[in-house]
Amino acid sequence: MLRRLSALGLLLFSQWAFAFVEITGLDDIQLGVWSGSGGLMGSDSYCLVSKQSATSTTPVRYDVAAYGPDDGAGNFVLLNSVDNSQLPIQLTWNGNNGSYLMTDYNVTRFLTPLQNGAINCGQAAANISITIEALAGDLASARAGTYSGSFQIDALQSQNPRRYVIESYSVTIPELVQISNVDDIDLGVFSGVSDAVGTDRLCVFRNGAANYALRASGGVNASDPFVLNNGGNSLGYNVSFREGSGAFTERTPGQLLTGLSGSSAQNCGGGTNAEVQVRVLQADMLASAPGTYTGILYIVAEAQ
Amino acid sequence: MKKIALAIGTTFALFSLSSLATNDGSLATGSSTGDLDITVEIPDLVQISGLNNIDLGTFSGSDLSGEDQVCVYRNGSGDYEITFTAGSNNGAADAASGVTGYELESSAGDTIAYTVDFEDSLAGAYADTDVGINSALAGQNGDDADATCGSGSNAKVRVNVAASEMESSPAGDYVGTLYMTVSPE
Repeated sequence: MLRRLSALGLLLFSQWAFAFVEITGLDDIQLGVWSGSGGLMGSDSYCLVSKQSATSTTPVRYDVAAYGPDDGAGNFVLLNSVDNSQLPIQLTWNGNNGSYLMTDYNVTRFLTPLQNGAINCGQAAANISITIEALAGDLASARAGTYSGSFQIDALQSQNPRRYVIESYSVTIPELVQISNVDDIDLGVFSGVSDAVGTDRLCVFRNGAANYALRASGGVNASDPFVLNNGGNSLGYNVSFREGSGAFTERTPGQLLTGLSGSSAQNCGGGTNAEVQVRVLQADMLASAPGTYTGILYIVAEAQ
Repeated sequence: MKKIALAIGTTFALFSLSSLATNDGSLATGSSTGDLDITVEIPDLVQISGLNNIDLGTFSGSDLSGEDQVCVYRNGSGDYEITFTAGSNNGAADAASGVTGYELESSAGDTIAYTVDFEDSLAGAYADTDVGINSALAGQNGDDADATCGSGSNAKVRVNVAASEMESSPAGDYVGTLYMTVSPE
């Protein structure tokens, strides 16, 4: 999801009297709250003037370096406000001579190629932008929380830096959970000689692969009993859950099975990570009138 | 000595199933709810169990009768019907049920006719006597809760051999097989 950038802060340090670098129109970047699907991206345009002096009409070329929190290999990250866990981001600097995926200069020593200077904001060469992107996969893998970071960009005129501090790229990731891959369970035709047992494999997405709990009920209310109906006749059943391919644990209506590990990939990347089992006891079916018994099983995945 | 063995039969009726819908949960904060439909089909079921051989003993000049108490399960409130067929095989158990008549047979090939009575309760008198072979007795009541009648019985069958049949037959052991087939109505 594309998020508009807003409010990019700027600090300007003029260190050399004979050089002039000025950046205007920067706003803070707030990537907002992740909805749970897609990536987050925003960009902000600003004006970068680079010339010999404040009154000069001679543009001066410059290159750019970036600094900020990184993953140790120079790739930029935002940091969780609680535990400093990392959320990778891509910082792209869009100059007048190309776009460049920036990395931490302190680690990679990466500099953009020389860019053309501009003497005022009316010149096309002055139009610069920054794009910040958090990828969907990284957002899903990150634990819930608010991530932020302060980044610095240096514009260097002939190796004379002019430093601009861009503050507060941030994104909030809420506690997200989703149950999917839900399919009907057809227990078939009672053979008369054994329980009727059916299963359905599920996917539970949980951002950051955090824990979740499962519960079930036979109706919209958490404590609605597990009952199948055929006209005026009813037939009880049992419900069990398991994580992966472990042992099934039977639950009563509304009773939580806790401590399950979610998938950090929505729809589990096409797979599953949990399973529900429904069992109708032979004795109960033997004592029931013939007919087709149906019911709705509600399964709730709760973030923990 | 004349023996009669009993056999069982079951019948099922099947129905087609329909496909229902499911709903994945939505991506949400806190919790996500999905729902699925569960379907199970219970067909018309019937079972006869608890059968034992009937040993009529040794002919001593009087009619002989022997009884076996059985369990007939029938799910729901429906009735069942029961049909009797028979077989004999030169004094041995017969795996083939026939409809020509109730007969016991000796190893020499001599035969003795017998009759069959049936009652769908234990306490009552036999409501159906001299039941015709391969002729269904309808309107019988079974146990609708326990396929084995709680390890008990709820019906009885009786076989009878008239003294006149045995008086005119050569000495020997006579054996036959009585088949009882129950079906849901």
